[in-house]
Amino acid sequence: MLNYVWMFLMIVGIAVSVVSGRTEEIMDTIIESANNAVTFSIGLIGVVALWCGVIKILEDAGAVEWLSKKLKPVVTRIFPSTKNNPKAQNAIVTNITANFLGLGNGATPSGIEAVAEMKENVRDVCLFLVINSAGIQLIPSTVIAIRAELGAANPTDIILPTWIVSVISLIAAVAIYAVCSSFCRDRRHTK
Amino acid sequence: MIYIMPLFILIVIIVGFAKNVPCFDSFVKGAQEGVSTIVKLVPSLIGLIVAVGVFRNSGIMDIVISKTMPILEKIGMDSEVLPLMLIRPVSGSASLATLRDIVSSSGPDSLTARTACVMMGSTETIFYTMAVYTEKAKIRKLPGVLTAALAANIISAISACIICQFI
Repeated sequence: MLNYVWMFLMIVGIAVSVVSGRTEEIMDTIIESANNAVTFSIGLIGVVALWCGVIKILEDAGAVEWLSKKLKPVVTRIFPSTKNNPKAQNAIVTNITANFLGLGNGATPSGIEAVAEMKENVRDVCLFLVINSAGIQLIPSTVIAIRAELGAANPTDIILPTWIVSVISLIAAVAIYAVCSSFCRDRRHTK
Repeated sequence: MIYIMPLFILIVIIVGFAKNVPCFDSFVKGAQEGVSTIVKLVPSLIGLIVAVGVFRNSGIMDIVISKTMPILEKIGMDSEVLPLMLIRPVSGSASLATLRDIVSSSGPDSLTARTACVMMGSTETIFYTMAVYTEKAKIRKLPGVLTAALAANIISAISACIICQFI
């Protein structure tokens, strides 16, 4: 999909600028953007690496296991089909914890495993993905890195609003999903 | 809010110390992963930042934004953040490039930039997540997930616009 997005942006962008006589400007933009991209990415390394390092200490201290244990009763309630499936529960809590701490790629393997373990129950798989889509994160480190790199006065000032909006979007996602799925079920029953 | 990061780091180090973790070694190992994540991202960011820049400076973006402005403003949304809302569910690196574009063009402390940052932090690349997580289990039908995720995206965009005005 990203292939199409990229081609679309490039083709439309260049074509429109040629038609509207901004060729020279677009030439500058291409060179400038390529250079900016490198400075920007390198600039992100500092904060992102710092954060990954701090989280690694937490990981090595056993935080993922600790949080997992705390989350387990909640998981049983939200995903009743996993009641007698400790493997699924482990995968779910590891995934949620990893996402919460912003481990990024660390969340993917447990996510795949959680879905594979729950595949008999489509409702639980769907709910799991819906919860995942809200992206609840303790510290949005990449965004902070971007703000720091581009010279914000206080790069961390978006933490509180991000928490609030994350919770809103989680509630909204689950509520909309509940409405959608009950609507689908009703339709199936009437058929 | 300024205290969150330093306090968090302090707590982490104390916890690490209490649990006998070789803190600095762990830190270096983690930081290494962070560095290689970003370095691996550089090529795609070059491609995407150029594409976003070309698209914006071609002039078509102004047309799209001026056309959608009246509609979006009615529901309380900033039309500058529209590109981020569209690209966010599709790709993480593309939304990173878009976010950079918004933040640098409108100034990092502007309301638009902060709204975009909050949106970025409170949503997920749901297309990617769905595709990768369900591949092994071979589940094809996921009724309602996409609708819910995309609708939640719009809601988070609107609430980010509102909340950033106050905090």
